[in-house]
Amino acid sequence: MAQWIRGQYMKNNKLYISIIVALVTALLILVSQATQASAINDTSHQVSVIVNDSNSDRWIRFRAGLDQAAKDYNINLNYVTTTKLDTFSQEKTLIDEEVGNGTEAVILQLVNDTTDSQNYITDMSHKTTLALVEAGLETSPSNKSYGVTQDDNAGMGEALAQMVIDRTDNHTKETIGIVTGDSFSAKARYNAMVKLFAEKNITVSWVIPSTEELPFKLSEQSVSTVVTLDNDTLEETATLFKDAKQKPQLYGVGCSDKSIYYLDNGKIAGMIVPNEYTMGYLSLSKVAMYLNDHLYKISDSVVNYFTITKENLYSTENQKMIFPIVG
Amino acid sequence: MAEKKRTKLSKFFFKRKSNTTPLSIRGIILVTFTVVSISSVLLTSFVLYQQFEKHSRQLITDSTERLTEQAAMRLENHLTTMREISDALYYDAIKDADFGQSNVNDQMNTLYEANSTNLVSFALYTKNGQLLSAAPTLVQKEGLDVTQEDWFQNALENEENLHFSVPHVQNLFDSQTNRYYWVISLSRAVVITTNGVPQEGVLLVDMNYSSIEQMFNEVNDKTNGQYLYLTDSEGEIIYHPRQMQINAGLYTENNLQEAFYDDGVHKEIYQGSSRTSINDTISYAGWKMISIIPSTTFSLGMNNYRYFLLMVIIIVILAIILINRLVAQRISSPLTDLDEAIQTAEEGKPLIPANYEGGSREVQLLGRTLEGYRERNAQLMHDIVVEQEEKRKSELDALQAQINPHFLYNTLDSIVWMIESERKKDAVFMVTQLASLFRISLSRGDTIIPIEDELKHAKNYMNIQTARFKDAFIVTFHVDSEIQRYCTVKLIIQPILENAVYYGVNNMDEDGIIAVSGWKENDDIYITVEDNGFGMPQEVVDQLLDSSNKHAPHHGSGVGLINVHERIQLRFGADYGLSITSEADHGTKVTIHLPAVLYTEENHERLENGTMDPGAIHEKQ
Repeated sequence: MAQWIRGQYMKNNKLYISIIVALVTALLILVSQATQASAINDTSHQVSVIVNDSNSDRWIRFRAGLDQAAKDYNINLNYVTTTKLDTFSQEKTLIDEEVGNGTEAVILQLVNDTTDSQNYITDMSHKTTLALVEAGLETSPSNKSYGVTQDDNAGMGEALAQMVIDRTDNHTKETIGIVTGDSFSAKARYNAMVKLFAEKNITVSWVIPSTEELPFKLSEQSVSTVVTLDNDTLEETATLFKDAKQKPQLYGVGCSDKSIYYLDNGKIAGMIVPNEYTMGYLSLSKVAMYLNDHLYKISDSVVNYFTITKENLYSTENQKMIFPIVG
Repeated sequence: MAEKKRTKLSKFFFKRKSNTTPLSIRGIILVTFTVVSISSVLLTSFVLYQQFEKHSRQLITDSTERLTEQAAMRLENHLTTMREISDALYYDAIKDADFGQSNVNDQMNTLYEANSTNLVSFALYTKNGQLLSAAPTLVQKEGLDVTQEDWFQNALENEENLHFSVPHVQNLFDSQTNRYYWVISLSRAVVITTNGVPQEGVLLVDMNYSSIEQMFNEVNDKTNGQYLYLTDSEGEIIYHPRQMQINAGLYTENNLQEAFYDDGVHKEIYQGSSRTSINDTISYAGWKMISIIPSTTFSLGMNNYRYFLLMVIIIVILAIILINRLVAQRISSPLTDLDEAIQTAEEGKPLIPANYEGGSREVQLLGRTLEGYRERNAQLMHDIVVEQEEKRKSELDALQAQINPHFLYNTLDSIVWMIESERKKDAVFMVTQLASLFRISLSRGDTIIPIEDELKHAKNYMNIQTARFKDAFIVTFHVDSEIQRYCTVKLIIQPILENAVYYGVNNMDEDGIIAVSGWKENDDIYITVEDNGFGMPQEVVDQLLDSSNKHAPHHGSGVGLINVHERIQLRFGADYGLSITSEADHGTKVTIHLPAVLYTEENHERLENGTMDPGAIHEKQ
């Protein structure tokens, strides 16, 4: 009996020791894995940015935002060099190349908003992390698996119209010509703008999609004000008006240094400047947060804009946003 | 009180609830050692970690403080250089020039070219805001009124001083290249001579902001979470690594509070997080350089150390458990061995010195003491058995000394009678049986003999008695041959047969029958002597094995059944002995109950010496 009890003691003793040693070893493995996980968290993620005409100076502020977010979140940013993209198939090729090269996420400016492009983006969003900038939220499906960061297009259209209205003494004599440009953001801007013009009984004389036919239109039917709805058409129109003796007042949406220069020397009467820095920073920071924690949901964002004239261009507040401090 | 506490502690560690199994000594040693060791390791690690963290914090704070001082010195040098450029332009060029006849464009351009990295432009204005000279040569913007600019007004308001503005975009010249420059304006009031008439003017040196930005970016890029920024005396940010984020409202800074801290190290809570700020004043411009060390910077540096420390602690704990197990085994195994030895010693075996020799001094002493006790106890037991045996022997001898002459007389008388009757064969048989009887009785003085010899002795006796009583009764032996090689105490059947003859079948009218049977049942041996004689009432039966009646006078051999009964119990224990059943006019049955112990030399020796534990008899078969 005594021997049996001693035998049981020995058995129990060995069992307890085995359990404790197993527990401590498991703990050791856990801590070791935590150390490795901590090291993995320190590694940087690869994110590609594809925007139309990437070297245009209109992206300076946007890129400054991207760079700051990349620094804050330790992102290895690949800013893909592009020329002016005319079709979505060109953009699609670039996206496929980046995904094929192992990028973990793509920040994308859609060159146009078609059913094909939407379908492709929906498919691609299941293969990689996507964040869109300047995409029409109106056409995005409600159950989409990508985030969209874009301008307040309707707000910008209204603000642009309001600026024209505020600077006009006699609304009934005011005639407006609009150059929409080919960006799909322009659609929302246009709708909001013409709605406000209609409310104020301001006549929109003509609407053209690009500046190519602007000289002809102006010779055909002169207007007191020309409004453009994106940066490219604003720059082109201002260049056209640069040396003209009789020229309409020019207003538009712009964000390049060239547009600002034209505003500064009076070629442009007023501008709506989107907050591209915030757009760049938010789009990448959300992607980075998702890459660090897949439970994070990339939400949509709408960024603000600034109403700038020659008079307030150098105000303390405006100059901080209009003239980015980029090293 | 202390004693009470000690008792409680002792109870806690060593006394368990009565219904639970107590811990083994190895378990107690292991648990105690492990708890104490791990507690010590954890406590030491905690204290060391605290010290290390404190030291690490101090190191980071000190290095950041040094970095702040160095950056402040670099900035002061930079500003001094700018002031010296302004001085050179003013005292070496402007003061000597008469702007009615010449200008200072050449000197300005030369100085600008020499310092173009850090400068954006020079400009000299009259009190009315008219541009007199500028470098590089640029076209001033149309409709510009510099008299409304802060830098212009500050210069004229306080003519003795040089004034540094906060960073702003230069709005003086049309660059024609879409380029805009962030500058810090250094303005001062100057005296301008035009056609011999002195008048007030303002000299503007626009410093390239990117030079200062680059200077600070270099510092901030080298840090690990901590950063420094620059404000003017009112807290307006001049440089911040997150300037654009602050402008865009994506980041906030506590500049309006921190700019008013005294120079030195300050701890503060900002937006729910603790951080350390180190302030240094740029005496020349009145600017504040502020270094921020967020609490995460301290923890970031400590994270790897924490994991490392945790791993070391776990490994040490693992080692402690294994080492303590070895130590506990080393300490407890001699005690366990001794305990096992004591268990076997209870069976009469001696303690083996090897069981405790490997242990500590105390264990060895305990082992030797116990062995001494065991030996003395065994000796005492042996002495008692020997004494008892001697007593029994002497008693038996005395009884036999009484019987033998009587039995011998009767037997010899029968032999004489047979010889006289010419029954020589019968006489020879009688003598032979008598000789065999005495030979077995003697058995070289042994008490333990094989059952075979005991049966032979009984048969010899009954042959003599049958001859003497002229076949007045019949004796039968039905004994399994298997039991003949087992041990028995000698002379236990003969007294029972003698009683059966004298009190059972003698004087019967009919033929008396005495049946002797023997068999083995499990680990026991049973031998019965049954007669069909007169029998006895139960009260007589009860007295037969009553030890208080053993000295009562007996007939016949005089050797009472009680004597046989006690001799068996003396050798084999209280479980064995005689049992008697009897019924008047039907006969008596006496059963001998013995343990089945094989008659081997070893068993014979131990039974003879009385060193066989009755409880262990069966185990030794």
